[in-house]
Amino acid sequence: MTDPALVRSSAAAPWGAAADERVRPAGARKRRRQLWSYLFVVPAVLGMGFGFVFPLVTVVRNSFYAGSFYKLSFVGFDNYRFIFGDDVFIRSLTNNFRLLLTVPFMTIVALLVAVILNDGIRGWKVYRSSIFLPYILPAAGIGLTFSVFLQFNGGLNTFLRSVGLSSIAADWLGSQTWAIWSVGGVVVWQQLGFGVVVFLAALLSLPPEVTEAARIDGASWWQLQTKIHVPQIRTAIEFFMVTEAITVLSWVFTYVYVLTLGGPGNSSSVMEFYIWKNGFAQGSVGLANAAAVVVLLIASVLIAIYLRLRARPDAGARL
Amino acid sequence: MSTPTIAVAPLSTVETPSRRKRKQPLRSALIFLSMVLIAIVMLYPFYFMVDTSLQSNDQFLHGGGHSLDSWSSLNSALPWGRQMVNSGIVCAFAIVVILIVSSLAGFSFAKLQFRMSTFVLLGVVAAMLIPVQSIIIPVYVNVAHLHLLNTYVGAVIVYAALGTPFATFLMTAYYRSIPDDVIEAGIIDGLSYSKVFLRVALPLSVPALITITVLQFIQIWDDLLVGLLFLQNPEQRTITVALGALAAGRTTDVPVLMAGSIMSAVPAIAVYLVFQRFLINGLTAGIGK
Repeated sequence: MTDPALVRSSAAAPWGAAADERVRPAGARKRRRQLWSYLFVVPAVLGMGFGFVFPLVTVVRNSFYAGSFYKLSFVGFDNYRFIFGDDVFIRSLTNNFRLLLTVPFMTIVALLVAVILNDGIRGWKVYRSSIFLPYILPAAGIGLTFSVFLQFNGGLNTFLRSVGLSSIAADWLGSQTWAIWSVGGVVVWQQLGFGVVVFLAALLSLPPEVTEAARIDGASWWQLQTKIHVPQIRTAIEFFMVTEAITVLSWVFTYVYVLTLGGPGNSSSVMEFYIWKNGFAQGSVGLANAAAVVVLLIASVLIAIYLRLRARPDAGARL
Repeated sequence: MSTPTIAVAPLSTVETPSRRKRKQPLRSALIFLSMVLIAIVMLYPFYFMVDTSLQSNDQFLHGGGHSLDSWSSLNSALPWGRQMVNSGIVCAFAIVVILIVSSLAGFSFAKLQFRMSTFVLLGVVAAMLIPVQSIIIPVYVNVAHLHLLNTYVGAVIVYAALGTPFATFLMTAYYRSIPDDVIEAGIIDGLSYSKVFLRVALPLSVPALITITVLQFIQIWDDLLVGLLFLQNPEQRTITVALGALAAGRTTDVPVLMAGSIMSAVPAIAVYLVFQRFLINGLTAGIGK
């Protein structure tokens, strides 16, 4: 930490006494700078203490208690024993892992679209905008639209029947097998544009010389994409996959709430929904807290991976 | 599909570097078809939304015809004017708080660097990824203890606290990109750190502030969970929460629900179209090169 002011004042040393007077304020400035840095960060730290640190500690502690929001009694590991014996919780956990399978799928589709758009298709900006549009819409409105669209006599099945595919027209939201995959499909529909935007930004920033060299060496279009372009944006791809894994693990509540309310018969419940239902709708706060700790444990693995990626030299905004 | 002749293709100087010139008709057609297919899949639900909203419930159920019934009865099912004002109030105040807190903290992390600042910043990044659902119960209890449930203030505090980590991360990254010399010059000119922040750093960071405003606006406007828990009174409901409640009530009038969905999405779409550049910059800032 070389304070330029300090360098300047010590360079002025030949002036003797005058120089001493100039050096001292620099030390004082360092202290003042420390003081200001703390002052500036205090509001954020307070906010995070209120919004994250305190709740985290409380959730972990309260997962060993049962009772209502305001009156708790210690029950040890009973909450955990209960939820791991609870079919609904196991189903919710499994559903979250099912949703994880959408991540590679949307990554591949988004990559394909981005690679094609990067190839200089006319009107690529319009494409990018329309594919990205769902990402900024309220999930509640999207969920609502799809809850109608995916009904047995809704838009999708009407379309399928009209093109002679009535055999695959299923009761997308009303069947125990399909409901969670329908939720996953809507999530893919909404998140796809995010992937395209991220990958396209990474592709557009690649040095053109490498592409040109490969082309001169006779690389085919496919080789150019798989051997030259995609490897160069590996970091962006990994970031996207981790971010989306966290998304389908812990940000799909709205879809489930609006599309299926966890039904039919809890078949499309996810962990978030389990927490909400137990904590707020049924008042079993202890169970909700134990489920929350399970979510946090899984999320912390993903967050650790994310932080490791961030330490890479080519990871956008560095820490 | 590789043609060996390309290997000896002359190094033409007029060729644009990253865009292909040689087009193969089959591939072009395939690409065109797949893009059309994707565009249909992405946009058809929007068409469905608009088309359905332009039918009466009877027309929707029995097929055929269009009318403006659902739009004229929308206001009684979903008092959207009032609810948009609610959404606007909550968004505006939460965003102001987020901007103040995150720009101060970002400046501190990037330019002042207290002891352990890297460690705290790591916590900030972790916080922006923490599943909200898993920590919302204690927050709810806290807000209840403060008697701020079902008040704008309570919702604003919660939204601000939840939005701060990502905003702080973006501000830190942005201030890092401003050379230290700019800040040092201000100090040497005799400005205090608070004045350097206000007069030098803050004006330079306007693009980042716009990005955060746009991102947070869309996020808070679209949010269902926090609103559902912290603003339960119909008088304070945001439009998204009201729509969610209407849907969960299993209203049978589908066209009205579609009209409501469109209504609730219009402000977010408008902001997106106007500030698209800032939004995309912000979203891609954290990721990759």
